[in-house]
Amino acid sequence: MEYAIVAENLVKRFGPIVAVNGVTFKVKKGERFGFLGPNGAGKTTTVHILTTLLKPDEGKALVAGHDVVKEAREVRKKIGVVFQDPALDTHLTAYENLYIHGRLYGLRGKELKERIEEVLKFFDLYEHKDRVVRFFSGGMRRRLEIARALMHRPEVLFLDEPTVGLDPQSRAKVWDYIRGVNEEFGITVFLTTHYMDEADRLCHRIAIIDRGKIIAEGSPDELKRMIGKEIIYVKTEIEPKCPEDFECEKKDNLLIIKVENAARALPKVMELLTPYKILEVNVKRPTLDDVFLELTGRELREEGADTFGIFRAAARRWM
Amino acid sequence: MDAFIAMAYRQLKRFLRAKPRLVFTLITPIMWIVFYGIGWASSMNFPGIELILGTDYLSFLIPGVVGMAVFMAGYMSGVSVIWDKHFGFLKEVLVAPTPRWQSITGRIFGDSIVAMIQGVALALLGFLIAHNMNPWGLPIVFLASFLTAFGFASIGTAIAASGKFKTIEGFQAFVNLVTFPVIFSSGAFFPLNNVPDWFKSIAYVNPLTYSVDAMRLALAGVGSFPMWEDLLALVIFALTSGAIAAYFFERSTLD
Repeated sequence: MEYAIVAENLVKRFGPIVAVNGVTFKVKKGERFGFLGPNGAGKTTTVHILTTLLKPDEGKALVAGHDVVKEAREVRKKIGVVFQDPALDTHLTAYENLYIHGRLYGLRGKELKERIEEVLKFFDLYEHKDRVVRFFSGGMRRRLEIARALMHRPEVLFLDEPTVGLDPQSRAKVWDYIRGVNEEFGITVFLTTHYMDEADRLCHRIAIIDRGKIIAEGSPDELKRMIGKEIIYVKTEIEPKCPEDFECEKKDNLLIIKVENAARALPKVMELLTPYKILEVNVKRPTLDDVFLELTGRELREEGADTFGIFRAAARRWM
Repeated sequence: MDAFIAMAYRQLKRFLRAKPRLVFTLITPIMWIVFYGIGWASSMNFPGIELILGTDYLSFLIPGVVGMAVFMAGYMSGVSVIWDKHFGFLKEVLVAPTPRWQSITGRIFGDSIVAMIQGVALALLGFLIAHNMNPWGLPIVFLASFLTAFGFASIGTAIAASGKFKTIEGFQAFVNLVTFPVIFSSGAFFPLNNVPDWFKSIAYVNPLTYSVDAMRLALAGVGSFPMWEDLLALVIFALTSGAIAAYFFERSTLD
C-alpha cells in the first residue's frame, strides 16, 4: 500500500511551548483521514508543517512521496490547502480569486478558463462567479476555497477545520462536497476538526490528538469500541429477567444490557424479552466524545481547558 | 512570470474595484496643496522669491507633494503585506509552487502602477492652480513616480515580511516613525540649499529627495541635481530595495 502522507516523530516548538510533540502517522492514498482534537492540540501546526509553511524542529514528513523540507516545491505542486482562516481576497470576485490561484500554479489560457469553470460548476458556484467574495455567505466562501484548492488537481487535499463557524446546513453541504471530491477524483483528504460528528461521519480513519500528541488512532468504529460496549436499554411492563448469555443490570422494569454490537444483538434481545411486553427500547453507542473523555479525562469541547491551550491558541492566531 | 502576473493582476483589480479609494488617497495631498500651499504662497509672493525658490511657491511645492503622495501610496501598499499575513491571503501565496520572489515583485509592481497613476493625477490637478509648471515634464513624473513607489513599496514589504514585529501596534508605530523624517528631509516643502549640514546629509541619503528633485526639475525647472543623477539614484534605490523585499519574502515562514 502506498502512502499519501508519512509523518515520523514530528516536533515543533514555539519558544517554551511544544505545539507538536512527536507525532507519527501514515495516511493511505485515497483515504479521508482526520485529526480530531480540541483547539490548541497542535492540529493546525501539523497542517502547516505538512504543507511546507513551517519547518519541523525534529522528525520528517513525506507528502505525495516528497520530503516537506527538502522538496518543498514538489510537495507544493501536489497539494491543495484550505486554511482555517479564510485565505480569499474578499475584494475580488470568485472568478478573479480562482484566476489568481491558477496563475500561481502555472495554469494559463484556455486550460485555466476550463479549470475555473469546471470547479465552479462542481461546487455549484458558477452563477456567482462574478460576485465579489465579500458578499458571499460563510458556506459559499468555504466551497470557493475548496474549489480553489482543487483547481490544480492536487493529490492530497488539506482541510484545516473546514466547517468551523458554519450553520448546520452549510456544514452538511461542505461534507457532501468533501466526500464527492474524495470519491469522484480519488484525492486523499487530510482534515482537522474539533467536531466529533464531523470526524465520525467524514473520515475513514481518525487520529485523536491532544497536547501535541496522538493518543489514539483507528476507524471511528474501532475507536468507539476501544472504550467498551454498546448499551441496550429495554423497558418492559412485567419485571423482566436477564436473558441468558447477556451481561445485564436491572433496575425495576428497566434492563440495561451491554453488548459488543447492538445492531446484531437487538433481534435476539427483543425475541427473548417479548414475553415481558416491551414498552421502550433504546440503544446508546459510545461517541468519539466519550472516547476523548475516557482517554484524557476532559471533554473535547472544553476549549483551552488547560492554561497552555490558551497560549497555543493565542500563538496560533499570530501565525 | 505567472506568479508575477497573478499578483500584479490582483493589486490592479483591487484598485479598480475600490474607486473611492483613489479619491481618498488623493485627498491628503490635495489638503497639503490647498491649505499649506496656498497658505504659504499668499505670504511668499514678494518680489525676489524666485531667487530663493527658483519659481513661485505653488509651482515649487506641488512637485514635492506629488513625490510625497507617491511615497505614501507605495510605502503603505508595501506595508499592507502585513494584512495579507494576518487575514490569510499570504498563505495562499506561500503554499503555491511558484517562486515567492516572483509573486512579491508582481505585487510591488502592481502597487507601483497604482501609485504612479495617483502621482500623475495629482500633478494634473496641480496645473490648475500653479502657473509656472511645465506639462512637458509629465513623462518624467510617470517614470519618477513609478520608481519611487517601487522602491518604497519594497521597503514597506521588507518591513512587513521581516517578521520582526510581534504585535500589530509595534509594527504600526514603526511604520509611522519612518514617514515623517522621509517626507520632511526630502525638500518637498522647502528648499534644501540653506539647511545645516547634518540636515543635508540626511537629505542626501533619503531616496525621496531625488524623487522630489526629479519631479521639480521636470515640472518647474528647478532642481539641486542634474536629472540623470536623480533618475540613476531612483533606479538604484528601486532595484536594491526590490531585492531586499524579495529576500525577506522568500524566507518568510509562519514562525
